[in-house]
Amino acid sequence: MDRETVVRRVMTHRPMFVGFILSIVRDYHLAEDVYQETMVRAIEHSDTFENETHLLAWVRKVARNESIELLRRKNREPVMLNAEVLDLVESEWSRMTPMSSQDMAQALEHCLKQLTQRSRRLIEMRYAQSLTGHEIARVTDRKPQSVYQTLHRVYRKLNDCIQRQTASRGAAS
Amino acid sequence: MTQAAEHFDDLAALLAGYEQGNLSPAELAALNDRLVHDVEARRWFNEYFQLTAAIRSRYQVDATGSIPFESAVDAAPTVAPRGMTWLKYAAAAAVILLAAVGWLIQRPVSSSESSSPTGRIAIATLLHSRNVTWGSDPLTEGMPIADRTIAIREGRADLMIGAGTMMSLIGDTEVRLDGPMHVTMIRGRAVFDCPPSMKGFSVGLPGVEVMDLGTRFAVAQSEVDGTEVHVLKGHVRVSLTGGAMNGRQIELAANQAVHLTADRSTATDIALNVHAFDSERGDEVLISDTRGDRVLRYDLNGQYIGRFITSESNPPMRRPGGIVMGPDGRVYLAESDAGGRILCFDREGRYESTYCAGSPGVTPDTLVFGPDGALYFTDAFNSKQVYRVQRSAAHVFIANRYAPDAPGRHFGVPRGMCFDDRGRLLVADRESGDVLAFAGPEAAKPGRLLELVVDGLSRPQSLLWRDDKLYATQTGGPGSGLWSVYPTPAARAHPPVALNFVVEAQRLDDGSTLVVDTSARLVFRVLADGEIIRFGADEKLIGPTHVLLMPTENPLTEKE
Repeated sequence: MDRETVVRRVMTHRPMFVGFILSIVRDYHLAEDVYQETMVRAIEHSDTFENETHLLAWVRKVARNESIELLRRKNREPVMLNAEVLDLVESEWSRMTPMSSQDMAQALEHCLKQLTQRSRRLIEMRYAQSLTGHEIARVTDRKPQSVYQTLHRVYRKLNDCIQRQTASRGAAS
Repeated sequence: MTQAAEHFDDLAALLAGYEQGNLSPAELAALNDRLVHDVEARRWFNEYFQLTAAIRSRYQVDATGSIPFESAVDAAPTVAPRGMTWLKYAAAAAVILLAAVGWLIQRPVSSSESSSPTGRIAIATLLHSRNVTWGSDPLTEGMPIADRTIAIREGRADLMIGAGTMMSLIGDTEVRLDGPMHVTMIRGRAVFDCPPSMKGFSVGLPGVEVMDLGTRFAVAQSEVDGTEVHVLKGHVRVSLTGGAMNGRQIELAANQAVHLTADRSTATDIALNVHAFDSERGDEVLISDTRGDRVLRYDLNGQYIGRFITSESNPPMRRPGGIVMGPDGRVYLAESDAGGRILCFDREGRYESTYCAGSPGVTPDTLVFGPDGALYFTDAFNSKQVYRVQRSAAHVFIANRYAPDAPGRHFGVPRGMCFDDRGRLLVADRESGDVLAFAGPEAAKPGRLLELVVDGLSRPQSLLWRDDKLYATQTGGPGSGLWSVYPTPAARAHPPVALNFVVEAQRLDDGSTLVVDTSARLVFRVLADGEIIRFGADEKLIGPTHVLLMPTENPLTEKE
């Protein structure tokens, strides 16, 4: 495959790859680093990819190894899923429908607006103010378990909304 | 994705703990076990991290407020105007991607660092375009733009220049991007919103330089009519560099505006015209130009904004007719042909779904949402019945012979329709001049004839229930227009205006009325004081029929 095709194909799957890496390293900035590094390595190996399936499988494998290696280098305590689970999770990623960053950003923005004020506030505390669930519980005078539960339902709602949005756009195009 | 929101509640604490790295060994084992044995949980695990990555990315952009331009551009934090934020995120994502593509492709393999990849410096990016017909090479949203000329024929394009100046081009407009701190306005209308970090940003015009002193301002430029500068916020300095006033400087503060003649011989204070320039989104009016196979959009002043959909849209739309906004904030539009479909669009005119597939022999006309949330429509000219849409199909709600005990009674041209505040469905028959009330969907016998509400109207075409009053458009002769017909005696709802064949009308909050005159091929806004504003002066209508007022916000959005 030529370099441009490699870049574009990997870019098309960017939200998915960053999510995959994040599920291992659990630090967004580290996930971005691993993604960039993986991308550069994919470019360097572009001649060796036979097709997109080959490319994407290769990227997932490299991203996984890079993530684990990075955690080791950073001396992070490896609270990690076991290898068998990682294999299963990795193969599940290959079945997901790719979504471009732009589509994802637009859909997310739309879906955030559909949330109640209260739900949005929770998301903002978690991600704009980087509060942990326990910290949010303290601020809002709720039990941590209740905060996690509510956040989790908000995620489900957002995710469903994003899937609907992207499906309807896909149908339209 | 088919699982209910509660299905993975038991995973909430495990996922949160895993994400934060504070699971106990027992909890980690429980998570491992769950993921091994539950494929749906594995799928959700992946979607969870894809989603949280996207949310983090979104708030990261929000925190830095910056979009990565080339290094030559000052990367100061940006201040986006209200209502533009989501564009920033999408654009930021797109710009990051595009910049990365260029960088990565040209990055020398195995070298430690690369040189500047693109040669030309990106000084702006297109954040959003709405109904734009490009007069220059088309731009795509998120595309970094180097120094060049940009022209649009219609619609609106929002660009971010340098490290934060927002520029909205409105309608037929052409500008040249000279650099991150300067643009040249060739013609048209544009609004500039400059954050404090961009103080000194300037707009060049023939013989004039408009410099921002920390503000929001608008410029209109015409070779014939000269230049208008309107200051919506803050201050600007207008420096004359040619003509009889060469060397003169005019300082303008908020709510001030000036007109400069084309030959730069005179400068006159004029009234600020916020509406003509306001780049914030306001209420809009959609007009079904049925014979033109398109739906056009206007602001409330009748300023043409652009096309909502056309026959070239995807999917193509034939003879758009009835139009209504649903309780979900989407726009529903009927094709006024036999077998016509009812399509659903978002507020930007993007197709979302086919709401009703259409039936042979049925021509949807007026659309109304009922108190039950279902969509109803009249078929005035074909089957002459009233329908309700259920599960994407039209079902007869009121038959043509609507009174079983009086078989002779039937609809002639059932055109207008609305629900009153009691949930009754009112239908206007243009042929008989009657308005009839039928039991609504929540009554014991939905669709049953209840009473004759008004008779003797002159060819009533549309109905409107507002503020406990029933309005009807009447057509033909000097009485053409919108009339209040119930419960008080009939009275014209606007000052007398010479109208021909009025199909639909809307009452606006300020007491003015929008009137669609199909045979005159015009739409008017009749103000409470009798002044008439013509809609569509910039874009000739071919056969307007229906009109929709699209409010700024969907009031139901916040409800969950």
